[in-house]
Amino acid sequence: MPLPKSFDQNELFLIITLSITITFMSILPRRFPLSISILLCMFASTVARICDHILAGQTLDLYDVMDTNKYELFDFISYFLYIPFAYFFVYFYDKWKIKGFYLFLYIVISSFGGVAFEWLSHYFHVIEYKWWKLYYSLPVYLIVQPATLIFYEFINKAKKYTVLVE
Amino acid sequence: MMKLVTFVVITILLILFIFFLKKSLHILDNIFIILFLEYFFTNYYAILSTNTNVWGLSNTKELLIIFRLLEVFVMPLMILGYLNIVTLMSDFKKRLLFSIFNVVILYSIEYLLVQWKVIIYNDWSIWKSILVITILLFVSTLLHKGFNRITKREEILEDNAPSKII
Repeated sequence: MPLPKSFDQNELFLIITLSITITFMSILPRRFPLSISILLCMFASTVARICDHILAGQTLDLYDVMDTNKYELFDFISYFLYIPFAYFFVYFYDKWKIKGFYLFLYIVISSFGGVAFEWLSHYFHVIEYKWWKLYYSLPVYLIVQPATLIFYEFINKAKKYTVLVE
Repeated sequence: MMKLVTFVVITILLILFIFFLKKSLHILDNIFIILFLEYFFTNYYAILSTNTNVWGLSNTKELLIIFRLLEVFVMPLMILGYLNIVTLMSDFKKRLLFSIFNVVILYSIEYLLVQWKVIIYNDWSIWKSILVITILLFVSTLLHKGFNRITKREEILEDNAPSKII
């Protein structure tokens, strides 16, 4: 994997944001079993990776992540950033037991939060748009965030209602 | 167009096969493996085709769709199917033979795409692909065992007992 052309604001932004979010993630009281946490983290980064691979890959090439259109070391690191955000999203959903209309509000506010954070990432040149526009991301977040909650509910149910077969 | 339709049919048949296959692994294990494989393949193919150019990809949209189907569906599902079947085998010789058979099948699919000019080998050979597939099968098995140990510790699973969800 290529190293960055120059170690500048996008790499710094990534490292600082990752350090803050992971620190916050580790000081939160533990809520989920390790297996559920691992699957949640993998789901978040894998979905982001597949989306970027298809949208920013050589077929569509709608935007670049980091300095070049190659798959750099910091591209790889950038997928770790989705982990704490997905974790917080599910953590507070579970902690506050959000349901009904409040769940709708939670998803909408989080999706706008996601767009705001993407704007910040664009400002620090983590994402460089080519044919993509910032507001195209809103429908993506509005799909991915409920999908994350459905995934969480599914794995949680699979864990709770497992019946051992002799 | 014939090639695309053929490959779409192969992909659908594979998805149906995996869906109806009696899973020997727990649902959480299956999710863990598929997420890992999706992440691996999108990274691996990006490194080969975008970063190092040891692989060239066809410029035709139709053939590129075939390639996307290969990396997102076919390869991960094939390995998932392999792991679900191989864990049922207790005899080491049978496991080894089945693993070799799978390496051959997995490479045959890649070879088909090479013949169709979806993938163009620049500085690459059959043996490198076979080596990567063999290592991947081994690593997937190890990672599965690791995750299985976590689920067992959390009392989701008892040893390697297959389970179902009610």
